[in-house]
Parts: sequence; structure tokens; C-alpha cells
Amino acid sequence: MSSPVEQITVVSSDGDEFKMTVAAAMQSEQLKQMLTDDSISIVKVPVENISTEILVKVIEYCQKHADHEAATKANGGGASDSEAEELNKWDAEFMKVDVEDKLFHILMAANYLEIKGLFDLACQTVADLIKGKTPKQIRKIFNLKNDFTPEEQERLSRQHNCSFD
Amino acid sequence: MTMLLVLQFPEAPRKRASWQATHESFYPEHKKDLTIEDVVKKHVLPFLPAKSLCRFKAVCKAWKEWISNPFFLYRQSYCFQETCGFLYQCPDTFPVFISLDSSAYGVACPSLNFLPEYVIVRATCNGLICCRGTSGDNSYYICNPANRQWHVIPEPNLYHGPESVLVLAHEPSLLNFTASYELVCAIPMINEPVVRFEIFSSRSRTWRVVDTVCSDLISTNFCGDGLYIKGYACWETYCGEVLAFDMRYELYSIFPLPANRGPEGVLTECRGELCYVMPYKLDNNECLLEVYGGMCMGLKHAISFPVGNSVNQDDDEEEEECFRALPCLSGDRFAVLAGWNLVVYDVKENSAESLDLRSIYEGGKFLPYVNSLLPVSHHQMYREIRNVSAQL
Repeated sequence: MSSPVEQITVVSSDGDEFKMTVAAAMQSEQLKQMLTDDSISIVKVPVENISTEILVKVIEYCQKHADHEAATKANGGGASDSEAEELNKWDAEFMKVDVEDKLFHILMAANYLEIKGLFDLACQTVADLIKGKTPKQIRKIFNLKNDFTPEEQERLSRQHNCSFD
Repeated sequence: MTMLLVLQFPEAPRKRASWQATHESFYPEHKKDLTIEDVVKKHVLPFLPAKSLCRFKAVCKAWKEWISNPFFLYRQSYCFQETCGFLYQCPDTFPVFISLDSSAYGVACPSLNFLPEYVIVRATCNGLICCRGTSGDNSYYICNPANRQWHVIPEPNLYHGPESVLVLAHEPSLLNFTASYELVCAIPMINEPVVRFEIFSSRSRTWRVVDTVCSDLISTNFCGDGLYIKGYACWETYCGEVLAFDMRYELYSIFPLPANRGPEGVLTECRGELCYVMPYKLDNNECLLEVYGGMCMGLKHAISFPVGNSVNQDDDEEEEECFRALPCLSGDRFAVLAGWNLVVYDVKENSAESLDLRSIYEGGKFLPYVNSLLPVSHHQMYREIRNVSAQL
């Protein structure tokens, strides 16, 4: 009988190693697949495109949500309204990062590791972040080239200004 | 407004596609090659309001094409369901849009002058607006002012007089390719305390008079048009009753509003359920809102927040200051009209925002509006789909 795996180690792109409980790792569909696949024996999981800074945040999210799930199960099923609200508040605070870039990295990390809750949360947060921006700011953020001719740009701008308040 | 449907994306053929809709099989993904732009375009943009998206068409050609794609437009109308402002109309004037964040939320043409005649706005539901013409046939129109698309509804079988009231029922869906909705009209009969129902379905494009007839109301005098919530069309009567019409089984139920209801109160959707919000002005320029909910209309929450001093100090006359509750907005926000000010209180953030409506307010109607890009014109939409298919 093989002893159950209690923890796994994930390695960031910077080479730093972090231990994650299995419960936390199960928050990620990718890691979950690896853990439930008997043919793979896990020693260390490299996550080559996630830096240390972001990985720390991601692990924090996974652990918090794993703990919440465990507490809910222990209480016999549904989370109470206040518990769910508290988790939402925690999520909201968690997404308050000091640098905009971090949000995008968290989004990519959640996408790569397939952590649905964090991904949805990050999508909404990024949406709220960019909704008031100008096209110029958007281009800068995503490093996009403006391939409209000056005439086309003028026409688009006129259309938009006539249309909207 | 909060989600009326449980958010469940349809099963995609690939094993790990937990949040990818079936239409996106057009866009194959290789996780490691994805850039942040790819992820944002696919997964973040559908959560943006119409005004932001229309502005982002100017980012680059690829973004313009992406945002104009009908599959994207449907995805957006499904993902973005926040009410972020009110469509406001007072009698004999054109509607205007009162936005809570003008950089993000706005409509192309709130005056609705792209319609063939002057209309009265009757109801809103998830980006769709139902309005009625004032001349000749008094036709009903369905439109979306964010993209200026509209179509006219065929004439009903019954006569919909000035006492008739309606509910627009629309639930965004990833599975339909046309904006599917139902228009439920409650028609009080003349000289009889009886209400008949007639329903227009966008799928069949026909009106149908329902067999069920309601004769149990104390009075068939309705307080204006109603709202749609979780399969029910609900209206309030002046006698303090709520008529709830179950659209699936075509049965109705009647229940009373709380005893301390008043003209300042409003029947609205709050935290996913039907509620009645009753406001009270307190002495210290604060407002207290009592929120009653559920079928028994029990007191669920009591919320207080500052509304500021909106009384004009220079006024010599004793003017009756307007004070009433407005429909709730999504994201747990309550709105109150206090004097000239529209005060929106965000429960989660515990903050109140005030908008001065002095220049426009004249006792009109406020309807919560979702800034969605839902296509409404069928010809337009089919043309776009044909164009997209031809390119593939």
C-alpha cells in the first residue's frame, strides 16, 4: 500500500520551491489531474511561467479556498450566508494588488493551472480595471500596434463620439 | 442584476474546457503559447459594458473585428448582466441614460430616436428595452440603444388600453442565436375586476391570449409596469397587492405588500429575489431602507446611509421634496431619489454616491438598464453571421 501524498512541491520559474497541501493543489485542475493519475508519481512540479511572487499569491488563494471547502464539509454541506460573504470579502481583499501588472500575471497563472475560482475572480477584476481606459492605454498595456490609418481612426473616433455621451 | 440562471457553460467536447463555450471551438488554444492579450480578448472582454467595448474597437483592427463578431456579442450579453445606470423618461420628453460611471457605461442613443416614432419606454430586462409608440397603432418595439438595433412587434389580439401593464422577460443564453424574450401583458377588463393575460413570444413571433384569467384582485388598478424575476412576471397594484404570474405553468398568485408600504416604496429585485424597498428619511440627513422580501414579504434587511442635505436653503416656499426608493442595481446597490439627488449606496463598500439630477428630473420613471451589446435586429444579425461564416 503506497502512503498517501500529503504535500506536493511546486517550483516557480525563478527556481524557488514551495510546498502545497494536496487539498490546496486540488483547487487546480492541472495539478488535480496529476495527483489523481496513478501512473505519475509526483516529486516536484515545475510551473515554468509563473514567478515566485505570483506563485505565492496563487498558493495562498488555493489554501484559503481548500480550507473553506473543508470547513464547509465538516459543517455538513452548505456554507452559511455569512461564511460565503466572508470568503467573498477575503477574495475582494486578495485581489487588491499594488501593481496592475500583478493582476494580469495572476490571471495567466490561474488560466495555466486551471483554477476556476481564481480565474473567474481575476477576469472580473481585470474587467473592472480596464473598463474605463482609453484605447491608447489598452494598446500600451497589451503592447498592441495601432494599425488604423489616420482617416480610419478619425472616422472611428467621430462615430464613437456621436454615438455616446 | 444578479444572475437569473445558474452560471453553467455548456459542455465543450474537450476534457478540460471548464469555462469555454462551444462556439469557441473556432479558436483553438495552446496553453503555453497564450499571451495575456489572447486571454483578455476571450475571457475578460465579455465582462465589459457596451460603451467600453465600443471604445475598444479603436484599439486595433483585430480588436475591432473581434468585438463586432456576433458570437462575441452574445457572449457579452450573457456574461455582462450588471445594471449600471437607469434609463429615465418623464412624460413628453425623450429618454436619457443616467450612468453611474460615464467612462464605462453609456448607450449610443438613449433618446431612442432611431425608432420610427416617439415612444414611451415601458420596461427593461437585461439589455433589452420594450417601448410603445404613441401614434396610430401604438406599436410595441423591442430595442437595444447600445447598438441602435430594434424591431417592431406585431399587433396583439386583445386591445391593450392605457390601464394595461406589461413585463419584459429575457434571459441571456449562450445557446440561442437570437435575442429571445417574452412580453407578458396584464390587461384589466373594463367594468369588471378581471385581468386577462396576453403573451408575445419572440420565438413564435405571435401573441397568445392565456386561458388563465385573474379575478381575485381587490383592485385591478396597477402601479405601472412590472418586473421579471426567475420565471415570474410581477406587478404591484394600488391596493397593495402583488400579482405574480408564473410564466411556465401560466398560473398566478397574489400576495400582499407589507403593511407600511407607500408611494415612495418600490417593488424590485434585490439579492436575487423579489423585494419591496420602503425608504424613510431620518432627521440627521440619513435614509433608512427597509427591505422586505420573499412571498411573505417579511423584513429582510434594514439599511441606513447618508443622503445629504438636498433642500435648497434659498427657497422661501415650502416645496414638497421628492423622496422615493428606486429599483435596486446589481452588486448589492440601493438607489434613492432624495430631492434632486440620485443617491446610490453600495452595501459592500459602505459608500454612497450622489448624482445631481436637477437639470433633468421632473417626476419621471427610472428603469435599471444593463449595458449589453445584445443584437436585436434579426436581419443585421444573420448578415453578420453569414459574413463571419464566409470568412472562415
